[in-house]
Amino acid sequence: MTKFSSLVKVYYPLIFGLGLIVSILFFRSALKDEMINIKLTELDQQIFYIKDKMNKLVPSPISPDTNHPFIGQLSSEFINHLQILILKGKNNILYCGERLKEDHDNYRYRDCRQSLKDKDNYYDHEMRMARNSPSQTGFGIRYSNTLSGSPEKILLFSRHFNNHDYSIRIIVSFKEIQDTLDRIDRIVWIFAFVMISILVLVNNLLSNMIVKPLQGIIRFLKDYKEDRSLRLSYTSVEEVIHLQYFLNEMAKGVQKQMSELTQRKNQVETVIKNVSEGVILLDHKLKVLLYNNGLFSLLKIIPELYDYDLFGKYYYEIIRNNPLNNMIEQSVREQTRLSQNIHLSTLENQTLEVICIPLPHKSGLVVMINDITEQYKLVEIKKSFVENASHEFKTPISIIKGYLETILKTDDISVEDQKRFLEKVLRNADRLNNLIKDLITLNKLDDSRDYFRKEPVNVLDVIESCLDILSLKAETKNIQLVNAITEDSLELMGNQELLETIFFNLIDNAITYTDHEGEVIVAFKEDGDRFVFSVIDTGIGISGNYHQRIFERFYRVDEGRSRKSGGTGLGLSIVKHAVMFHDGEVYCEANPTGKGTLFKVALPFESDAEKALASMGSIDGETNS
Amino acid sequence: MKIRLDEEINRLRKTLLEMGNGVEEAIGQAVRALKDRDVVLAKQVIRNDLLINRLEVEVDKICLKIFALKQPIAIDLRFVASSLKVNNDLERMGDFASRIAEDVISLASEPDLPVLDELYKLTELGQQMVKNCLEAFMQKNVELAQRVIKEDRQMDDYYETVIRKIGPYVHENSERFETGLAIINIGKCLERIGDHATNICEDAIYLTEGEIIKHQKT
Repeated sequence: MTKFSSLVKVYYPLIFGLGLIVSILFFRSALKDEMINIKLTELDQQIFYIKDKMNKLVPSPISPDTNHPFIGQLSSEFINHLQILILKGKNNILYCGERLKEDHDNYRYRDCRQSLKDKDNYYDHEMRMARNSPSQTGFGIRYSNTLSGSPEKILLFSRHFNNHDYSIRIIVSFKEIQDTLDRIDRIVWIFAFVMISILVLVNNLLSNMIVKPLQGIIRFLKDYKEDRSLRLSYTSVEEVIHLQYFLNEMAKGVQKQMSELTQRKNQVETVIKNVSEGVILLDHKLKVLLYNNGLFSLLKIIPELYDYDLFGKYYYEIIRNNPLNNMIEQSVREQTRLSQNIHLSTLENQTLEVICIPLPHKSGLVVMINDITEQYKLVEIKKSFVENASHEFKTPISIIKGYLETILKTDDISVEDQKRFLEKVLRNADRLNNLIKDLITLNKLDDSRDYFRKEPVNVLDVIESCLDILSLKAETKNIQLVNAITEDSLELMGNQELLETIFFNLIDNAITYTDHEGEVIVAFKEDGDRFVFSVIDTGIGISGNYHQRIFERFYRVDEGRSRKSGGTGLGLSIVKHAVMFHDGEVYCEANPTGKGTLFKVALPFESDAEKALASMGSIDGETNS
Repeated sequence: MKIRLDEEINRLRKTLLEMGNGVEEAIGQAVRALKDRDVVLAKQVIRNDLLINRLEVEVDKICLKIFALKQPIAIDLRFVASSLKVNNDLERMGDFASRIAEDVISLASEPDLPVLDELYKLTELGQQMVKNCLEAFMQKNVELAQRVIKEDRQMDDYYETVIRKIGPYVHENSERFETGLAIINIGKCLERIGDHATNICEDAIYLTEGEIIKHQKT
């Protein structure tokens, strides 16, 4: 790749310079040839002038042996300053100019009519050329070492005349031509140097005008990634200004779009981060792009293990649940929306609702996770409640139906038997009645605030009335009912009917599950702002594992025994809801004194409203004082 | 070639994690089955052990393939070599979860069980250790690995408590001797799971720092 600046600054001037030098050399050579030609023509004219003179003076043919007087007559002002040599044939000197003798040592002592010897070699290259060439001329340029002064370049010109067989040669100094050429050289080289310098300067200037703004644009494009508010400053070249203007406009547009996108992204992120559901967005490689904090608690992810940043991690590195991971893979593979409930393998038996939504063009996946443990439990409870309730209804109805059919279909049934059967029908009808009553009570308790009102109630009266009613049942089993409450009055804000239900059920249960000769005690203790009542029996007791579950609807520790005792399986559930209506607590423990069970009911004796009133009163008091 | 090696290593990571999730889930399910006396869930744990065994074979195959075809060096070599050992530890953990489930089936008819609270503590800590040891291994987190190694001592303490409490119980209720034995076995399995988690953490430290810390008393 070539840089524009080096192209303009170095290569172009170099090419131009080389071209210029070659042209100069070519021109110089042509000029030199032309100058020599002019000189040669001039010399030729002089030779013809001499020939004309010679023809006038001497009758032809000229014999070398002839001692013609023209030799002396030929010497004149014109001829004397020429370095001229006239040869007859190849080696007879007809005339040797005075100037030649003066300047050239080897001619100095020549007689005109002296023959040439082989070693003298005056019959030189030019002479031969003139004798042999059709134009009868010959010339040469060389250094003469026979000059009396310092050696210098000479131009030799010869013409041969065939008809008289003689040759005339004139030698002139080449210095004149050389000087002219040198002068022209100087001028031309200076001109070339100036031209190349101007070119380099202009190119530098051009390069700077183009390259510098280009470099600025490159720097701008590099830095623009970091700072979107950057803009280009304009230069002086019109085309570059256009480019800079459009780039600036584009940068402005991109900045605007980016800020809009960022704003939108922030809005979406804020929504995602703040929804209670766990949300995770995966890219096409199924690496995490976006997630919210809800995910941590739902999937039991410990964020500090990942330095609080899940970005770029593979989904299987953070979601440690195989069914959920399989679901993600399936959703991506099939590109379909999947929704499934997933149970986590924790002791709490957590249930999550997971929805996988693949993004268009296989660009990723959104996983939404919702904790539905409570809803799931409610559905399960509802399901088992319906199952249990229908089962509870079915048994007495079957019994009633069976006895009534027996009475109707048997003709000779005795009155005693009829009475016995009808008593059983009545008992089961009562059981059904109780069941329905309990269900209605439970249903009311679900919306307790609509059905029950709180008023001041003396709990002691409630307990005593329950003990009164149940004393007969206790007596039949010879169980001792003990009221260990010493207080005269225990008043609280509550609902008389529900409080009666609580204590009636607890004491009734205690009597039911206590064997003959046992004891049921109702005790009381004040604990902070709560009345804590205890119903203690010496009955069969309940294993610790069931202490929580006995408050569930229709839950029975011992199925057979409970049915025999006529319970509906809803009593303790009703108690629990009734206590909850009073913002209290009920729990079951093993009897600390040994055999049996202890139920504790803790009821706050100040309602929230009273507390609020009391606190307002104290504030008023403080303000008044 | 480098990209292919990365892909194979990612596949190895994924399979190991899948196996770890399976083990973690198996332990959780086994103990929940114990809590609820849920025989169906216990049987499912035993069945799922087959899946863990299959994943073990899969991990072995991937490791050998990488060794044979890619000749890993430096951290990659340590990761693949350690993965072979971690694989073994995870498979043993799965076996222990399966053994707990077998005991749960034998205990299903028992109305109430002694020292359940300690067993729950062992389970919760065990599950946490399994999760964290794999996390330490995958994230090359030495600090976490050392924490898990320390937690193993706590695990041993809980196990000792189980043993200490079960002794008098069996003594008083000699007719429930087998129940006591099953409980001890469950405790032992959980404790062994903790030991294997420790092994994985030692591999994690080797993987990260190249230093073998096994059998070195500090």
